[in-house]
Amino acid sequence: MSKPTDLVQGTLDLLLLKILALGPLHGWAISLRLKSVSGDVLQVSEGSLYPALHKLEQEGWITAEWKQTENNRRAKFYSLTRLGRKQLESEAANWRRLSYAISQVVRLSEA
Amino acid sequence: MRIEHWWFTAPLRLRSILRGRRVEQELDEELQFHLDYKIEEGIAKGLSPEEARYAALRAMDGLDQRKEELRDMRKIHWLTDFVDDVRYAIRSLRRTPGATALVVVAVVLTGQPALLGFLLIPVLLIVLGRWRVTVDRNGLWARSLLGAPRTGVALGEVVRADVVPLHPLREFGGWGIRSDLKGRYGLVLRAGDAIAVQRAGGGVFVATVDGADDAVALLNGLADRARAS
Repeated sequence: MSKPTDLVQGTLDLLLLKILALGPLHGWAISLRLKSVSGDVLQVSEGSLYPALHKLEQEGWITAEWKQTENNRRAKFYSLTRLGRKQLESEAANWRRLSYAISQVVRLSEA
Repeated sequence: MRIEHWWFTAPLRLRSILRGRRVEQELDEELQFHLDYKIEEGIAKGLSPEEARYAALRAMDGLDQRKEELRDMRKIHWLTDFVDDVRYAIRSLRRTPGATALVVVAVVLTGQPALLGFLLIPVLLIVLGRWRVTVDRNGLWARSLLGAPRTGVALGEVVRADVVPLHPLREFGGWGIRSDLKGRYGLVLRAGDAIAVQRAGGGVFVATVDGADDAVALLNGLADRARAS
C-alpha cells in the first residue's frame, strides 16, 4: 500500500473522519476537499485513499451509499457513523495532545 | 480485536460472498469514477487524453493492483478465487464435452467412482495452471494460484517494457514457464499480445496477459519514476 509521505503515520484516518464529519462525500471529492482545506499542503494519494476508506468502513466508522452526483453519475458516497464520530473525537483529542507535546519540544530555546 | 469490528466486517464479507459480482462491479465503478475525474484533471492541466490516462493510472499505482488490494482487505480472496477457478474449470470441461462425457459414461457404466479421478485430474491441472500477473511498484510478477512457482522482474531491473506478439508453440515450443533461443524466458500461456521486459542484467522476460498495452504503459511509468527518484 502506498503511503502519503506528507502525513504523519496514523493521521489519515483522522483526516478522513474529519472531512466526512462535514457531510457525505465520494472518494474523489474527499481528496479534493482535503487538498483545498489544507491549502494544497495535504494530498492523499489514490493508492492510499481507497484502502483507508474501505478500512474505515470495515471498522464501522463510516458507511457507504450509492447516490447520484450533481453531474448525474452514480458514485459511492461515504458518511460518518455515530461510532465514527466518537472515534473522531478520540483521535482528535490524541492529535491535540501529540501536537501540543511536539510543539513544546520544538519551541525549546537553544543555549 | 474489537467485537464491534466483527459486527461491521461480517456483513461486508458476507455480502462479498453472496453478492460477489455486484461487489466487484461496485469496486470497478468506484475506482473508474475516480480515474475518470483524474483523467479530466490531467487534460485540464494540458495533457493529451492518452498522457492523462497513463498519469492517472500511475497515480493509482495501477487500477488492477488497487482492486486486488481492496479485495484482499475483504479477506475472502481465497474463496472467490476458488469459485472462479471451479467455474473456469467447468467452462473448460464444457469446451471438451467429448472427453468429459466419455469419463462420465464410463463411471456410470462401470460403477467405478474411482474413474472420477480421471475427471478430477484435468480439473486440477486447469485450476493449478492458472496464474496471476501483477504490475506494481515491485515490478512485474507472475505467480500460480498456489503462490508458487513465482517468476518476474523487480522494478529496479526493468530497462524497458514493450508489447510483442507471441506464439507459444512456434517460438517457445509449448506453454508454461518457458525460454526460447533468443534468450527470452517467462510465462507463456497463450498466443497473442505479451509484455516483453528488457532486464538490466540482460535477457528479456515475457508474460502473456490481457490488457498488455496498459500493463506496459504502467510498468514503464513506474520504472521511469523509480529511476528519477
